[in-house]
Amino acid sequence: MKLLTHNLLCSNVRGLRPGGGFPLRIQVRACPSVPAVEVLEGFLQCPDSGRQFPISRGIPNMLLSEEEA
Amino acid sequence: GPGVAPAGEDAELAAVIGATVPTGFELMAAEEVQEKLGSASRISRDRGKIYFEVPARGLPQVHRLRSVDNLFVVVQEFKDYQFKETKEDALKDLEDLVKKLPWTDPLKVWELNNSLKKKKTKRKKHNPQSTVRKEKLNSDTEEKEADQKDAKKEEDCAQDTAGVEPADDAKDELQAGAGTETKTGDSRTNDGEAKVLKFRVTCNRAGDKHSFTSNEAARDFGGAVQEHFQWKADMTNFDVEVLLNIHNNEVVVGIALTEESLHRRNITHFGPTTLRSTLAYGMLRLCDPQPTDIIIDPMCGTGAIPIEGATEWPSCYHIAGDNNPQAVKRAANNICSLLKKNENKESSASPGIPLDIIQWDICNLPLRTGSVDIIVSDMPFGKRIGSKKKNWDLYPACLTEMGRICTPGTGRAVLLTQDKKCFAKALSRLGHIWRRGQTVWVNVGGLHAAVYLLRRTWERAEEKRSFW
Repeated sequence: MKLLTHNLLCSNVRGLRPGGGFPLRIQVRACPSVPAVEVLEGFLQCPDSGRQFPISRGIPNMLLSEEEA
Repeated sequence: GPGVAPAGEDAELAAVIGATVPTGFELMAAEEVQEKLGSASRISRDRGKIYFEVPARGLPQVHRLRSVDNLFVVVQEFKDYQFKETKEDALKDLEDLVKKLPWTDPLKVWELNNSLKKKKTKRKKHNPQSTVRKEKLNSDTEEKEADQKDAKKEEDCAQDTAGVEPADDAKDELQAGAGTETKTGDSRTNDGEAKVLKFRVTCNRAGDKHSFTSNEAARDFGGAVQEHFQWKADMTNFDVEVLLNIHNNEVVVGIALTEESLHRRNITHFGPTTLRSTLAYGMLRLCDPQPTDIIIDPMCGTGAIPIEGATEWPSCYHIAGDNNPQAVKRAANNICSLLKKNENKESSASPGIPLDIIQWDICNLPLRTGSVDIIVSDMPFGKRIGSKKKNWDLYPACLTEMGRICTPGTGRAVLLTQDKKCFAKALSRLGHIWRRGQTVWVNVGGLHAAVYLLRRTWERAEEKRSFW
């Protein structure tokens, strides 16, 4: 996931306050010498609900489960 | 037979090129030709074809056109060919035509084109994926044939040849992935001795007033070609493919310049419904992308549209998304292949591609309201993926969510669908969000489909539902 994409993404969890769910918190394994310009492995966390969306091989999975949707 | 032209003559050589394009996108293709080659095009009454003139040295640029499926050099065009009454006479007439045609210059163009192709094959590394690509192409064709019982059959499109048994010599440099091993003997043959060329004739005939079939025309025309040039007829390992296109009274004789359709160029990993790159290009052009536009395909499948987008409009930012994990994986693989291809071209830094992939649900997109300029997508067809009943619920939900993420006023969407009824109904309820623009009628795998251009109204969408 590239940084520009992160600018457009927001949480799609139900029941958030208006304008909520943005910006998603980027969670990656700390690597202080390398700035995260493109995230390959990690998580995006909804700032309101705390729900974590995994990023694997650079692809975020933003699908909600049956119960959540 | 045709010899190699002396040096210097090729610079003045001009060609009339015929190009096949997705039906409905002829004007768009003509625009691209004007833009990139500076030539004006004629659009044939035989749909899906455009004609334009270029200097022979412009051939490399012709091959880089994105809206074109196949190319051929015109030997001669007859706008109003008077066919003889009886089948015998009509066919004899076509046979007699062969020796009267101006073959010399078009054959020079064909040769020049060949040398371009050889340069390309030399640069390409041996790509094991090309065999995968060909296998997948076959399964796609089978699927298309199954769909074609729905299509209106207005053309008698028999791929006829006047060929005999395939040649013993299997070595054919025109096959993709043939590698670079050219024996010294071969290169000498091309420059010095006149190698006996192998050919076949392909006839496409449309119209209900002809006294002969495309089979018969191909056979007899081919016989005369063989007689005239002393070439060897070969159905599969041919050097020259002569095209005989008959559309009512319009007859065009040409020589093929492409042996496999350009439209699969970006995709190495196919899915069941991969869209032709040429169609993807046409759809993107219809949106008139501007630099810095954000363009998304929320039902990207194997990624044909975003990949074409990122390649041709690199100053825009492209996002591909799908809910299906296989589709997402294939799209990611196709992007990897593209990155590797770019890597091979430039020696050092590969600048990357302005394209990202996300796994998501079209009905609940994790995108901020009004954040996207353009949406381009191939909507699920009832007959290929999903079902017509599912579309009834899916389409309104899609259009609503797409309306939410799209920038009011300046945003637009270009959507391809075969389920025109369902689409029209869904749209009729969303007149406050979407205005209908142009519609292009297209043919996708034998199915009659439509490409709709929609413009986002100025009305702001509601924020995402907070409570339910």
